[in-house]
Amino acid sequence: MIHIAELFTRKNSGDIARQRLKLLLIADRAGCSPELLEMIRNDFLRSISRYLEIEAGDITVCVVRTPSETISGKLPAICATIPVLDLRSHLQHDIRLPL
Amino acid sequence: MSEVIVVTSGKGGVGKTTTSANVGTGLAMLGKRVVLIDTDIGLRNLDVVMGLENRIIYNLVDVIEGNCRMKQALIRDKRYPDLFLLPSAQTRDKSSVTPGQMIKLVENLREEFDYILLDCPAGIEQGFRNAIAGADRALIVTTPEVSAIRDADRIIGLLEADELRRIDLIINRIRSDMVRRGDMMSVDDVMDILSIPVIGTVPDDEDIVISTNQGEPLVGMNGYAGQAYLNICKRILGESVPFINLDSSSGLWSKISCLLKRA
Repeated sequence: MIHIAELFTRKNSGDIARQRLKLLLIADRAGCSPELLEMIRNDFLRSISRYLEIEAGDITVCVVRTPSETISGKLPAICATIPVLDLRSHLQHDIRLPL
Repeated sequence: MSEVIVVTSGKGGVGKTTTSANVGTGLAMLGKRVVLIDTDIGLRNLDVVMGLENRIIYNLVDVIEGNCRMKQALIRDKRYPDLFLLPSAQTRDKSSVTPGQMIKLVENLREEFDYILLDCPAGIEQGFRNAIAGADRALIVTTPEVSAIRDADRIIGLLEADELRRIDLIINRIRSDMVRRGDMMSVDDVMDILSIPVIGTVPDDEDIVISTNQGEPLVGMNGYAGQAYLNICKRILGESVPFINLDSSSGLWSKISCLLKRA
């Protein structure tokens, strides 16, 4: 027996496939584990939040293939999306920091 | 100018051989001189899909080793006089041929043919290396499944490292009913994930099984799969052909054409 509630909460298997594939390809393309990407993500977070107010939960780090300027073909590149909440206040705060 | 196209996928069983047979036949149908080369040494298949298995005398390895001339090994198609097949060897293994020998073989065929289609074996080992060695461009066949797309992504990486001029994607075995209810990734999902140009989409169609049973590629025939393959061929020739809406397979028109086909 399938519960009616289950019918509504069940996630489409197509969406599950897409999500699994995205994670899989991030690791495959990077040639490194998702854990390593997580560490890179945390380091980005730490260094950038020294200067800007950012949304920690919304940072994504992935590896994409981009056309290279020096050789023909594509090279892997790290692509990070980091939403900035407030640019100014932190800058002023930062200026006051002793160097 | 002749063009050498490799049909590859990484994963086995996604439809490389069926695609090779239909694209090769379709290009011949459109008036081009075409040779299909089965590069899967040890596991000969393309001859069966083309319905030419009873005509094989010499094979790819015979040509490379000089046991026969190229003309003796090429088998003319039953329906199209400008379509030829160079079958693979059944009793040898992949190490009997090197990438260098394949490049030489393909170069010799360029003078005679407009299109040279290489049906690549599954995997990324020597057979794959041999098949891509002489290719100008690639058709990557995949299905909307996690494993097939993962392998396709790996293949794209390898081909880009090999500096192939052009790489296009064919998404095979789409079931629009499953896409509609969310149980299969859509064409857009796959495009989004692999980010290479899509040159065609082929529905999961019973007609393909029937045509393989008969040994006659269905390209150009009535029905979605036959038209989808013909459109791919036209796009290879540089025509811009709109994509068929696979979603309408449950519509009124398809029901009518289904009835007509049965009649």
